[in-house]
Amino acid sequence: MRDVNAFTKDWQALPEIGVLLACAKRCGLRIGIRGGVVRNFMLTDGSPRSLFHLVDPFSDIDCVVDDESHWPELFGSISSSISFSGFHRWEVDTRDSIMQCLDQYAKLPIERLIVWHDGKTKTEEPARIELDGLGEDPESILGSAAAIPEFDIADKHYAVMGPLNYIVDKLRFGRYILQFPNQFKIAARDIVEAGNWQESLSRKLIREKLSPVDRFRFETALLDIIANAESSNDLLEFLLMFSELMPSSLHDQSSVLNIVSQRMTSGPSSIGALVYSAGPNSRTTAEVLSRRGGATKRDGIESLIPWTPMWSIRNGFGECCRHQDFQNGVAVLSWRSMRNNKAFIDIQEADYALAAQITGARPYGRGPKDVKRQILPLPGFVRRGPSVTVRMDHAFLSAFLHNDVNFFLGLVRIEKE
Amino acid sequence: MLVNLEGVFGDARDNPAIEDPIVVLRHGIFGADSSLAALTSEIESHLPNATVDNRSYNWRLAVLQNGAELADHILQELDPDRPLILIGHSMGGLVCRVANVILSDGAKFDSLLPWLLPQLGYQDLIPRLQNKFSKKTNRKVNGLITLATPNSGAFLQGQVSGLCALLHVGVSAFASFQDPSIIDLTHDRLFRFLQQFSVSTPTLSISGSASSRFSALSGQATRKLASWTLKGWAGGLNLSQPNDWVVEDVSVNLTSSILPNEIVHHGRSLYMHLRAYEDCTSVTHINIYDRTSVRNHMFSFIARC
Repeated sequence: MRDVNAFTKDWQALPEIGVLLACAKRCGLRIGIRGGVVRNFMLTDGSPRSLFHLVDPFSDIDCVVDDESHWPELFGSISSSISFSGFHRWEVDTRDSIMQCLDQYAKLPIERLIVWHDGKTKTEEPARIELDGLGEDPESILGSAAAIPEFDIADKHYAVMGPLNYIVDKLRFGRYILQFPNQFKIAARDIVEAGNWQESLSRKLIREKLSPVDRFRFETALLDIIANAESSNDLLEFLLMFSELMPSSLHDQSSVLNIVSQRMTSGPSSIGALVYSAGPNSRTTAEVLSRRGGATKRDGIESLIPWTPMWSIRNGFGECCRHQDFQNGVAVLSWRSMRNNKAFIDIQEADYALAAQITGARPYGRGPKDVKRQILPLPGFVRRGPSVTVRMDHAFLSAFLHNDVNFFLGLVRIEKE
Repeated sequence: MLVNLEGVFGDARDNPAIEDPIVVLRHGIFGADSSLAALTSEIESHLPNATVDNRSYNWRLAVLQNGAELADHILQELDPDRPLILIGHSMGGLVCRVANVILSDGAKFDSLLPWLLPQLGYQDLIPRLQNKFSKKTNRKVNGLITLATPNSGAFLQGQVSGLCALLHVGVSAFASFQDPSIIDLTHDRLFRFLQQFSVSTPTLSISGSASSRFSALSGQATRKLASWTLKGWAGGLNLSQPNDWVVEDVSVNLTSSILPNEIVHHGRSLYMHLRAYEDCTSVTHINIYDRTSVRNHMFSFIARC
């Protein structure tokens, strides 16, 4: 584990941090990073290659500012200066509001830490990095970064926030253990099984339906595990165990859990997860995908990941508005091999590009119409790991074709001169 | 009919055809030297004593790296006593601008690199570029022409994909969005680099104005010039969406630049942005260098610098 000096030095070595410091200095403000990115930085062995490699597939970059009014200027600078920033979601909160809800969920000590990039320095001085433990000593936080706290479903805040949050917290810690098995001395299944929680959860779920927000949180917690687990065998064992533990009323309400329990026993060669909004008025959906067999060709074109069906729906504004990047937000697709843990560990991301095979398109508000079968490039960002994750601007397709577009997404190898 | 360049660049010399300039041509993204073969022949027939240096380069690399390699090539291999004209299409125009700042002040380029590159996200280039130019004599660049070059700021991500689609680039040749050149095009780091410099090279930027890049399949057409006068576009110009299918006209024009630039804001360069000219409504991103009116304006410019 790093101490404060080593942490600061290694953090500054991330290629994006110099640019982030320049943005803070340019604005004369400070911006903090916290949450999953800082946790992954601390728990990853060796030196990460990029800030964006620390962003889990279905997570965002948690930012902190002193005042909400600082964010537009800071984000404007970040989005034009930091490469690939547009392919990630940046969530912002103020330090004060973080302090107010600090104890609302169980967390690792490292999840208290804010890494500030302070541009409020004197004109001739560069921006600097400071660590903030939100009232605790950063050195002691780093010393016990991965200590899993005790938590119980009878805790007061679960009575307020609902027992599903207890399960989501368990899933989170299970994910950390499956993602960084060398950093923890406990098995993921032990975390989930511990505590006498099943009866109270079942009672609650029989009485009440999950809200869409709770259901989405639960499903993305499962997808996070699928995308991040280091070992496919451990993942499969964990998912099957978890599926059996969950009450049937939860299976009924969660499509991810349903599919996990139906398909994981059939031995898929790959499993994937997709989170996106097809159009500007579409609900954000979370899907789990699976595939048997090895070939990933479609119409003769080979893809590193299985060709995945998706939609790109137009904004419905006709010609009034110019295209903007990420009109429908960022779509995230992640695939992992269940037979080879290292299938995507060593790929060179820049050797691959996203391609869309168009299978159908229809003018906005009208009936279906055939379009010439074609293949189009798509703005995308590729991240390697136990799973290969692609982030894309899928709205480009509907803007380019002036239609609602149904397509298969693949990751094709590019040719270099 | 040509737009009058005299007001900005002065009188044309009497007989430029007998001069022996070196004309450096650089293609754009997804391109190669063959893209500019027809233009090369045209320059050679128009300026029979000129040497045309039209070469391919690896467009996936950072524009900064390609610009430095071009400057190095000019300093090492081309006759320093002959007039030098740089012409770049699309991203090639940015490559020429980088070469231009290095040729104009190599010592400043070297001195800025160590602190500037890390904060712009170019740290990988430091070992390749540091201390290459300060001991070399600066080289005069007589003129710089950028054709459909996104001079004043970043592309949308979608524009890069749109260009692939318009060019019908084969699926295996798609650009990765993690190629350094795509980062240069879609972020401001290159422009923040260039704004540290000042140059005095006469500069002509020419844009196409065919349409909107997303209008091709929707039947939306750019309105034609309502009238045309010898003096320019004072009467009746009404291009509803000035765009060459890839780059917005406003992105080509350095006077519209959001960030200050080395030519218009910091330099003493004579500068003209040419977008309303004969037949400009049919000039697209990928045919701009083959259009007669564009070529005629280029020769008119070369005869004045």
